[in-house]
Amino acid sequence: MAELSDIETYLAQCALGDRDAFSSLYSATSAKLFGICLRVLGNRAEAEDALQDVFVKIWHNADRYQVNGLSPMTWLITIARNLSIDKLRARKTARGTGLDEAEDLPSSAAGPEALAIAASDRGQIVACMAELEPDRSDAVRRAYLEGETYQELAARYSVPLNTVRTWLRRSLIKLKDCLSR
Amino acid sequence: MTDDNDTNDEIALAAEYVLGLLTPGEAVAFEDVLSIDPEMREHYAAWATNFASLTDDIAPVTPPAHLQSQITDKLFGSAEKKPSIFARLGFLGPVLGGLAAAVLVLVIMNQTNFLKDAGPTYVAEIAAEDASLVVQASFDPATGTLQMIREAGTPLADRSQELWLIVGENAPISLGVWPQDKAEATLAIPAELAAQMPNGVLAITDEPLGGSPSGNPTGALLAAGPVTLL
Repeated sequence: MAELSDIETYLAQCALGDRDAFSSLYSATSAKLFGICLRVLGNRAEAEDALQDVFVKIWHNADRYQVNGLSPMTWLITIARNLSIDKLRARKTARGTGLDEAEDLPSSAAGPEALAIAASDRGQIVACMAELEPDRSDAVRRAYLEGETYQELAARYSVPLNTVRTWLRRSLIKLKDCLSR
Repeated sequence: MTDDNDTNDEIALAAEYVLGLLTPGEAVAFEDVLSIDPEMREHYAAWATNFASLTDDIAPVTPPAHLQSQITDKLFGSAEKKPSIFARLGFLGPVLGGLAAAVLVLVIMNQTNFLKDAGPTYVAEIAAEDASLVVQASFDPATGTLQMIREAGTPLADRSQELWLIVGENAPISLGVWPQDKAEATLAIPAELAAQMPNGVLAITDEPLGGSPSGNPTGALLAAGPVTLL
């Protein structure tokens, strides 16, 4: 199991064009990142495509990672999440609707209920999310893990777009207060 | 109060950005702020970290074995082996002839006189065995700048010297033509080439005035040297 500092070293070496380091980085992180792609996309073929894009992007941007202030795992996870969401959104656009069609594979991840139950031994974010009203924390999670937009959230909760934006922004500020405690 | 509201606005905006809730226009505007505002970068990093931990409970899934080789093929081409410098220069076979053994591979470790305050830097000395042409090269990955000083050897009249990057067994890529009548040259290397620089060999060929007309080396290989981390 690679340590965080190993991953940081691999990234620094990748920035210098070290292919062996890239291979080590892949071994250490591809399962985690593939899990995320699968969770977001719910579709193996698309997740495989996404993971390829993820590692191509990592290789090309390894030299920039140090300036963004993120820890190496956060940076890698953010790339995997963002590229998967991009693919998911492209698919939604292509199909017109299709939110539910996307779920042709059962998700391996815990749903919101399971997350809440596990909150005690999970990170602070989950504990703080639990302090929000359930539909608000649900909306935050949907935005992050399902890439739902304000339009989709407004439709889901049957409220005007501006309303959903206002209450979500308030919830985010509340979340930040909790996280800063 | 106003300050608090402003801060709250910034905090919410950074979160919306990380969640991908901003419109494309808003996201671009946010990135502009991010590039100049350290406080905003802190908000961004904090949210990215916190939201990333929402993935903590997502179980790792080992991707299929073929995926890794697909990725490396995509990035590096299918030739994974590392050929020797002579093999790398094999493209010049016909021109090279007996010269192959004369290519001097020399790395200068203390050649810092022209590096000034540069950060991590790659260097190469590109030299011909008889020292008829000696070039010091340094490459700064941070700026993508390749600086070269020709210490010996000027091109023949009406001929140009062209610089090439050779990676693995790929065809040489032109990095540019040495400016006529100048002993120093500074070349901007595009990002995709810059990433390949550390694995590369720099070579200089003799070409018609203005550089190779074909995009591939046409003249004699004058000198070559591998790129090495200083």
